[in-house]
Amino acid sequence: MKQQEIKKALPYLLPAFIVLLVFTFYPLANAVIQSFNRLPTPDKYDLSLKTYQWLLKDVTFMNAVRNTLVYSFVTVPISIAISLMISALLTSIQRLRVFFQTVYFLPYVTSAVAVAFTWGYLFNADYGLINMILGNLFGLAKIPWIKDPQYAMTAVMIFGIWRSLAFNVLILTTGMLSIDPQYYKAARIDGANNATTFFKITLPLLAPVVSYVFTIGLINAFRVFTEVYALIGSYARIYNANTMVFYIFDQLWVYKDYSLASAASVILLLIILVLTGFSRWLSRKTDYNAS
Amino acid sequence: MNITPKKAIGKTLSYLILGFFAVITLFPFYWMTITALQDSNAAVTWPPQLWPKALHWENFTRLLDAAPFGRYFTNSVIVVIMDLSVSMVVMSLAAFGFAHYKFKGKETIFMVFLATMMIPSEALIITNFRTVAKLGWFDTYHVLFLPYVASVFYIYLLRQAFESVPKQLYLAARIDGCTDFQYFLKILVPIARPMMITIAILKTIASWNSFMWPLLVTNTNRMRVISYGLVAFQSEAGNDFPLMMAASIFTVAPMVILYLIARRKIIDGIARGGIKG
Amino acid sequence: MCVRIRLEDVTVRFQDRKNPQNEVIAVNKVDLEIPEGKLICLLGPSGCGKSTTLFAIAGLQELTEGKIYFRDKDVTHLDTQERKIGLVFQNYALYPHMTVAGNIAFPLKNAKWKKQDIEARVLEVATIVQISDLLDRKPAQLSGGQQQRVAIARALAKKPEILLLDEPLSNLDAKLRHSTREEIKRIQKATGITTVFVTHDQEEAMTISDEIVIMEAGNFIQQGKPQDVYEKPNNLFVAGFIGSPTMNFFKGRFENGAVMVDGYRIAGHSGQDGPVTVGVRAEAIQVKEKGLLGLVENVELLGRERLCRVRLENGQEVSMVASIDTLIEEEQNITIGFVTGKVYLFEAETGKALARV
Repeated sequence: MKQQEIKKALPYLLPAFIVLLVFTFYPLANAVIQSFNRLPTPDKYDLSLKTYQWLLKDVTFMNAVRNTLVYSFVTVPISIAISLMISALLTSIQRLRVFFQTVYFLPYVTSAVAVAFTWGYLFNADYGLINMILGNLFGLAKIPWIKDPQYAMTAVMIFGIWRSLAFNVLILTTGMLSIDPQYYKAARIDGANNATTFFKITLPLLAPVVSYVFTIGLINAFRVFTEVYALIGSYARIYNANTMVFYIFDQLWVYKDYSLASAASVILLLIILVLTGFSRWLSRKTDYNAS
Repeated sequence: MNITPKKAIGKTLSYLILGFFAVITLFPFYWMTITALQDSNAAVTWPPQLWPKALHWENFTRLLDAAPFGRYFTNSVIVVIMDLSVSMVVMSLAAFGFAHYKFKGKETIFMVFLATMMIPSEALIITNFRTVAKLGWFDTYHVLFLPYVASVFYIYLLRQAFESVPKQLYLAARIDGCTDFQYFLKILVPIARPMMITIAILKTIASWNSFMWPLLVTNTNRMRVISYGLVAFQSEAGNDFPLMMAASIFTVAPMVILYLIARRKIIDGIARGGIKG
Repeated sequence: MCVRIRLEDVTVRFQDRKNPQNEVIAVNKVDLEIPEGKLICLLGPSGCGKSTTLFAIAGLQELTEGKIYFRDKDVTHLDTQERKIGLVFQNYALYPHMTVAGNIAFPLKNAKWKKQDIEARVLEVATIVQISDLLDRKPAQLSGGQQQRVAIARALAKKPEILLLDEPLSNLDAKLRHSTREEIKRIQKATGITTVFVTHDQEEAMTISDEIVIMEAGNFIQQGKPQDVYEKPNNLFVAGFIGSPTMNFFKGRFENGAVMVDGYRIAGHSGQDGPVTVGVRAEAIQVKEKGLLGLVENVELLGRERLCRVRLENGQEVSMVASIDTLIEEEQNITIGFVTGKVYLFEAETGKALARV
């Protein structure tokens, strides 16, 4: 009986399975294999650890890793802190809540490229609004946001924080609204003021959601590419806005070094797998309803 | 427990802060819009004009002269239509296979499917690039979506939707002479329609906004989708900001309209992934 | 330290924001006084406003009209935090992320007690409700009965002047319900705290309360000791609500100075001719030589007594309780009458109690 069922199920599962096989499983295996290939072209093989050794000695790659780490661990906490505040405020009001929720989520559906252009314009050294405000209202010198290695990454981070608020606010607000109001009533009876309620009741109960948002945020931050490319340009490397994925892209597109790109992508993959495992562990630790 | 002055101040402050962040969220779009309607010189002078003196609609026609944005737009639309046509079929068939049949190792296979969600696409993109190069798929429509038609998360959601239909309905359909496939097509799919619409909308947004993959696999101008076309246009437009902003609006507007129409469905779809964890 | 509670003209109205004409009057001009140090029950069917009244006393529900006094102090506009009450929620509302000890200590921390005092008090209260061996567990690891005791402990921890309980037993299984309600009675007697608890179960109310307050559709109906409410109901609703099995009601008539039911004279009564509702409890119905004819449909043997269901000629069903020795069998035709002095008369239209004959 069970054998028959699999025969019947097969035609339904096959298309998806083939696509996954060709475009997910095979590339995964290939990436790992290629990363051990000493030669840059994928047709000829010479397996060794030389690629990884080279990778870890490559200043550009280390720079990219450093930038990615800075980007991730700066933008994600800041974004979550701001989002928590916005979510707390949204939960406390009744009127206009839907209006504000609509507004805050808008950036999520918009193309990163298009919005990055606007930000690029705002950040423009000579004609951008930000410098104009800084110059004319505060008398500060023009900051060459995008074209300067010192400031380029900062510009990307500001843009990144702005863009990540949409998703974070949505998930955190949904989580906050789903907290049983009984706990708040009990807290009032127990004499807790607003601050105590927020830090001792709301946040702990929200912990699973916050940790989810945190790890998803980190994972997406590690994968940042489009924002950098659209804001800075294809030469981000020069302006010290190199990220890991940008490095992979460069290796693939410019240098045609498949094995180096594969090795870098395997390292990225490992980092993300670790983060995913961390998120599972965290969500189990903060699940108060498990016995 | 009436509204004390303290509470009133608190509420006002809350609205002010929320309003402030709303302005920050919307400002780039506002700036995008009015710059697109500006005169080229006004866009770069101080003090900034919060509302253009005259609405220069011709910026849009200029845009279409400067770069084949009409073509880019059409390409994106074609890709979305083709994408939805193929992926909705592939994903719902797979979801049905998992939901309806019992076989040994089903859950193991499903877990393997789910495991792929953890893999960042950036790791796969290298090999996929080579694969499509060998297949000669550069500069086609199908290369832009085929690698992504089996989106495991949506298969998972569809499977849940199908499984929520009671088994008795299937038995009744069998008695009424339905084959399994007919049951899938005529009963399960219509019942799961709300979920499928949500997934279709989310996939549309993802397809429209996708960038890295089209960047890699499109070489000719003719086949560019709108996100890539936008980036390519940047080097051509130089400092002509109104033109660039007009191009941005071209890209953003359709999704904003879709968002305003289907806001509830989009948010529900995203939140589902969020709360599941 | 316990406190007398007085509700004066308390009214709570809810307005549907979208349809302002739709108004629900949850509590309607309720006037009642709760004596110090007693266990009082707010009893009534679902939706009668008892929980709303309880939350109004707690300060969680705003009053549309009226005032509430704790021992002569007007607390109507006083914040919940300042009212010094303990509340046990129907679903316990224990903070899932804190241990039992943490839950109990929470109100004390908010009241800025010293750490040693908190520890001592937590142990003290845990001992009263008998959960001192569970202090390190989290709520998810406890049974329903244990969770409830933690909720009680948390409510008592800060030495409140009033203890409120919202349907505390409705989430427990039948056996636990019995033992827990004895617990609550014991704790209340030991601490002497003014306690108000809400329930829809009249048996519960009858067993443990010092006084019962009956509410219906937002209105205060009657207040009194359980036995008084049982024996002297103010109206039809109270008579039918209290007591198990439910009181039997008959359509009767005043005719020529007597109360008649279906042609049989029940008792003498000077009243104007007209319809009257006659109520008789199951234990006040006896087999008589002359009376109402009926067929015994069902007999349940309950140890000391027999619970009989009799169907009268006119189709009405009557519950009757007799001693186990009385010979009544199923399928038997019998004649029943009422015990003198235990027949209640109610106004046919309003249900108001008239007399007991």
